[in-house]
Amino acid sequence: MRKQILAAALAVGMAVTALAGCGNGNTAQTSETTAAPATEAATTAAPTTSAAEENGSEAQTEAAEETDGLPADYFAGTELNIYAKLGNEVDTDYNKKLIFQMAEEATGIHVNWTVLSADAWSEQVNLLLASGNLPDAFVSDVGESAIRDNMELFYDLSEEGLLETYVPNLLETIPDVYPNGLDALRWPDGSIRSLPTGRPETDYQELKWLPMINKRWLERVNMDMPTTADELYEVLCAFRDQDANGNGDPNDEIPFGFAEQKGNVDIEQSMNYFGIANTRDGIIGHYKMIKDGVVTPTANTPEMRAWLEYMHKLMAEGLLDPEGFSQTGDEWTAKVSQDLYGVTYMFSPVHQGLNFDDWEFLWVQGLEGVEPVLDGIKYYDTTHKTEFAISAKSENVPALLHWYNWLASSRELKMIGFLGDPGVLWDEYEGEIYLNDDWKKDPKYEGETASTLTGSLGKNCVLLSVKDYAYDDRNTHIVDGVPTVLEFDPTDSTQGRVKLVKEYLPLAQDEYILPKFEDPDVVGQRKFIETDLTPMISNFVATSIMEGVTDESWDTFLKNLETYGYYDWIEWYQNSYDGNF
Amino acid sequence: MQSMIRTQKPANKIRQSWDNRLFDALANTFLILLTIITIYPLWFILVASFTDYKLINAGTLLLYPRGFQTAGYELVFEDWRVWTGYANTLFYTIAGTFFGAMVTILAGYAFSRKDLPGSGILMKLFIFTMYFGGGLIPTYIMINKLGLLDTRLLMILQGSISVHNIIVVRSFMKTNIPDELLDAATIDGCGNGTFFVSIVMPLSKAILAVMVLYIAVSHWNSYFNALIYLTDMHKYPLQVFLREILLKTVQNADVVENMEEVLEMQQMAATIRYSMIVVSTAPILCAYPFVQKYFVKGVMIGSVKG
Repeated sequence: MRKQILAAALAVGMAVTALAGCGNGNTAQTSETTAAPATEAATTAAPTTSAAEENGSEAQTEAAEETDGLPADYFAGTELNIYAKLGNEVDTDYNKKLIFQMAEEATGIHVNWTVLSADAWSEQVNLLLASGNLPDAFVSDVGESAIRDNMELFYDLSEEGLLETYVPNLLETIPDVYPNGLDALRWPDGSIRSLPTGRPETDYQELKWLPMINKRWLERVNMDMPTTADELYEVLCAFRDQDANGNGDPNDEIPFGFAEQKGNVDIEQSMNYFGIANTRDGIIGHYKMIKDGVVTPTANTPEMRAWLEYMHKLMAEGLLDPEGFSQTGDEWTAKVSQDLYGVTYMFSPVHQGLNFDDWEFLWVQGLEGVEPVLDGIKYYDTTHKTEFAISAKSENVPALLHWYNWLASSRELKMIGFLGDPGVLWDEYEGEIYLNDDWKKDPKYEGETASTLTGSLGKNCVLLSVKDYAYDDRNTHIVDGVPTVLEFDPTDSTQGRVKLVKEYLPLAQDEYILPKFEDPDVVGQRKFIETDLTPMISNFVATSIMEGVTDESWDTFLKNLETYGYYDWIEWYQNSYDGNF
Repeated sequence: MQSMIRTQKPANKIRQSWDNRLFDALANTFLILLTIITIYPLWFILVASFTDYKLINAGTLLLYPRGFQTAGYELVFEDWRVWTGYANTLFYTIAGTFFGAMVTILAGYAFSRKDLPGSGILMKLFIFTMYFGGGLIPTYIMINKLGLLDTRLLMILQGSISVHNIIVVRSFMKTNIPDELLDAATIDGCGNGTFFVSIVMPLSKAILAVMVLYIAVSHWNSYFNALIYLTDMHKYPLQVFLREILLKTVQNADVVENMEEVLEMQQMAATIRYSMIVVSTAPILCAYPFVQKYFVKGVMIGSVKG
């Protein structure tokens, strides 16, 4: 009997615990209810009188009128509580940053910063959202999923006139950054829950890692640069059979290196030679392409089969790294640094600690009549669209927007926000902005790096367009106080990467899906399909490369594509491309 | 013949049969292998922390440091956060261990006494908390309402008391402090306080040492509470900072102007990782031998007869 009572008590206890877990949703609902007054606060706080007249600061008024038509110190005396994630800088007191000191001086708005370590950030933001104990704003990456799951906790900035009134500087920049303008920030319900920061990184990130061939190896085996798949095969055979790396051991060469577990070095990138290319969507992204506005399947094509057969031939003859499917990124890196690979993928050779001139972009045609296409797209969104998110509970929404707008009120301020104090990493010379190399010689900055000097928040507090930071084709830097055109330096990683991207970007795809937030339920449908589809395709690819592809295995694969929802997946992307959700 | 055998073998030595000798040999070999399996990972961490990162990334078998370097340690120690973290961790460990050990011993002793009113219900309530908790979010809200968020006091209080430890102490006390001892002391005019301080504590050195070690290790390793409840980085313990430094070394390279440094750091991640393990575990490893003799005794008594 006692045991029965005990069992009943335990069951009740477990039920109570389970119910406590479910209580989370109620917290969110409560927050939604309490968010209403904040909405009113923002609407009623629209500027009808000039506080600048009361404060009598002519200089500040002038500065403000140049930017958003509001006096800079309109919200003077306001205190904001902002959470930020610590970047690469060491000092956690963000009020010491020049850009924020200037902002406080000009706007009279004081920010109480809570700066969390990167590790604590995600944990604490989730707890803050779950407990409803929110600051005025988060000025670091809250994350798309956090906003998506707690939409009602973030202030809807799509209210009519709100952005136009308070952040005109942002609205001016947005068309230069997003092809679809403000729609890039809208959720499917039309709301805007966060503002963007960062910059589109042209000439750098659009392409994925690039196929590179070791020129020294080519010279040692006395062969020309291959231009077709057959020629590449011959070259790889020569790498295998001869002492291509010149270390005296003719057996340690691995002609073609890849690491499936490390993003960007996957074997699927070689599908490019067979006319199949990824945008930037991970390995599964190889199995669709957008051609003339139509999302087209690639996994069921003769090109795919031809690629599998070619790769199997390479694997069977010892031309591919046999550890490629299982090795880690570190192991791949070690092989690259030990000069064991003749062909592999790189961001740029210098990024792998290699000599730029020893490697060359490898571009071959896999099939006659099929034009190779390079992974990557000509527009790639590298901005951070969820890095300035205002709490729905905040009573200082206009002040927050005004402060954010002030940070972007001139190109110089944006540069300070992006690269820190003028005269260190950047400087102005006769009205033009340049990167400054002189800081590297200044003993004051000994031990510092570009990243510790800027941090990441400084960079991310404003949205920059290409026009704002067009100091760079990256070739003119201030050296000894004077802008100097730098000659191409093969040891400079940035220059090397930019050179490669500029040269080979025309080989990438023109069409892409516009940047936008998507309905969580609709995204869920896609991810549900991918849960089974991705491993099915990956397994087939790995098996086919290791063991070969037969008519029977190919037919089974085609049937599996249908069974596993591949064509629904393609349709999903078509709808996304068409803007149906 | 027999006398010859006697002269060859000592009289008191029992001759081992061949199967016994085989068993000994196998057992010894097995134990030696087990020792190597246990010690090698520790030895590897120490060796790898002084080894060139390229060799570590290549997965080379290491028996001694190759390509000797101390870059990992330099990187860890040149960061002010490591020193701040060390100071904080020492403070949380010492204060938390003092508080935790005091409460655990007192509670364990109280529960060991038969004359504690309501001890049965109290113990059941304590045990209930071992199986059921409010969950992270309610705990966070409660701590916020208590005004303990972002306080050093929270880091001392939280995690100091474990019901498991209290049960171990109770079992120890029940076994080692007989009721007759209390009766005798009471007859001699000894009160509860004096009995606890003058008689119970000296007889409980072993379990006290075990509790101190348990609680100190738990505080030393404590990482999650700081991550959740602290916002001021100057209050972070060492473990959070070490993790932070490691994350920075393997982060995505998004600072365009300085790729070589980021790449170098990423490749050094393994060396830094091993250096951190050594830095963070060295103090506990140094302290362990001093409490080891009590530890074995205390754990055995506390658990076996619990």
